[in-house]
Amino acid sequence: MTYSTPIREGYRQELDAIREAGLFKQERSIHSPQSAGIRVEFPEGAPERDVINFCANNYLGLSSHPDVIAAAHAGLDARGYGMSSVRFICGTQDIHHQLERKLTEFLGTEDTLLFPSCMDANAGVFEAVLDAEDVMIADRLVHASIVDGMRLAPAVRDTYKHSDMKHLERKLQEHQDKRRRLIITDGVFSMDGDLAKLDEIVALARQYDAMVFVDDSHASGFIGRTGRGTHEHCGVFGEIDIITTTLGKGLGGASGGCVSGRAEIVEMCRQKARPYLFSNTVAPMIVAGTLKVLDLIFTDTSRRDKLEWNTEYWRQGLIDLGFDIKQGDSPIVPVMLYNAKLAQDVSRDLYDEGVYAIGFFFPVVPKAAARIRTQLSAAHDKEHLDKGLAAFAKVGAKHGILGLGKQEIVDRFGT
Amino acid sequence: MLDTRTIELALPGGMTLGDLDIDALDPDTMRAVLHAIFGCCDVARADAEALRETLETNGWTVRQGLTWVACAERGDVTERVSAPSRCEAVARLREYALLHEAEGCP
Repeated sequence: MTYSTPIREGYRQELDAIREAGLFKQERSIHSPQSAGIRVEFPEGAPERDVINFCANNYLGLSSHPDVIAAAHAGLDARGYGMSSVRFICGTQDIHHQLERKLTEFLGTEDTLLFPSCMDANAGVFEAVLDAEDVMIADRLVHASIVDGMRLAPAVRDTYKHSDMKHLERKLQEHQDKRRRLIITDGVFSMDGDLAKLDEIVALARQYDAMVFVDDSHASGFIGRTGRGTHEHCGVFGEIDIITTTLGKGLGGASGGCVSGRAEIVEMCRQKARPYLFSNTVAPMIVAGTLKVLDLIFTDTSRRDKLEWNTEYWRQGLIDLGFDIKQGDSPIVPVMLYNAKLAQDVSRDLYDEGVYAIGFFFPVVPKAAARIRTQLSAAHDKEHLDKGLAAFAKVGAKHGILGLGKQEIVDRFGT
Repeated sequence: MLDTRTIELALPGGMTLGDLDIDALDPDTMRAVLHAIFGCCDVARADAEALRETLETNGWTVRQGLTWVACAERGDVTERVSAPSRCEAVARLREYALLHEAEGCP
């Protein structure tokens, strides 16, 4: 027997332990396209409900845009369903190169290489471009995929305190004996929605002869005056050595990612990055859909402008209601509740009021930092936001948390 | 019950013990040192040499030696570092662990 009773029981006990710890993840079935309003079945077998979605990465509202869907259909008809190959054998079509050139232009870099996901891009890039003589110096709040990528690379790993430029400078000074120094950061941090200080990071990189890596997954398409990303927002467009980003959030929301940056670095990834070498090419219809996405946003900033307006309206609305929110410029707006059970209860009650927003708590976020992470979309209309704010007002009043600051919430609910 | 034996060693002329020297005499360190000494005398050493030669024949550059290993586990995450000194191993382990303070949001 290959799957004996003790093996099965062992897994069941581990799963029970995850449940008992309150960390069991349950998927919610959505019976509609991704949008501001979605139809959800939760729990399984329960009647479907129409809810307003405040937890998608559909920042530009392009996940179900008719022009993108039409372009994907056309791509499917013209280039087929799949390529049944990795890129370098027989998995590269003309449209893959078109998309890479277009992303290069959009991101202001020298070259781009597509990956099956940004998770894969981050998993592969460090190992491809660094070795044991080099050092990676990462912000301590970088995305989990970056942490995994760093663990796969032979270079020395070091960290700096979140967005602490003095600490980063000390680390750069400490590592002047290394051959190459790579500063690693998210552009927009997914937990708190704050932006990296890329202008200061680039200045330090120049001073201490380092390269800069930015994962701009929560920024590409909408952060910056024309939506090019955090580097545009910070005034260092064209000065980032390595950008990774996803096609699975603002840029259409399907799947796929890329490494974009200095020509030699991208070529090193093409030669050595294992997720690129050993997994299938991005499907043609996704490539075709993403080309349309870039067409839509290249010269027209109306979607990112609407998202900016929605974000400001939402942030101010929550502040006016008396919620404690994380300040920032991104469409990630965390409503701080500090207590894990409170976050779960508020999320459940919001769902009952027709608002879909998820509670995050330790170990996903640090201890005593439980929150509801809300995410805005250009697909939201003012009506969606007003309904959402009304639901937050009702649920906040029910739990008696309106107008309370961190210490008052902690005093009342604990951490 | 293991026998306990005391070994008295005269320090080389003019040498005094500093904090780091005392630290190196703690039980964990001494245990590791003894394991390393026994490891060097291991009867299987010839096998290890043969395996190394096989690897080198296949094009690998093989380095082996005594080193400090520091390991930290929390939940599903394990970080493990090897370094020439105990201080360096633990310092690097701390940096590795700091990247796991929170899993982070997708």
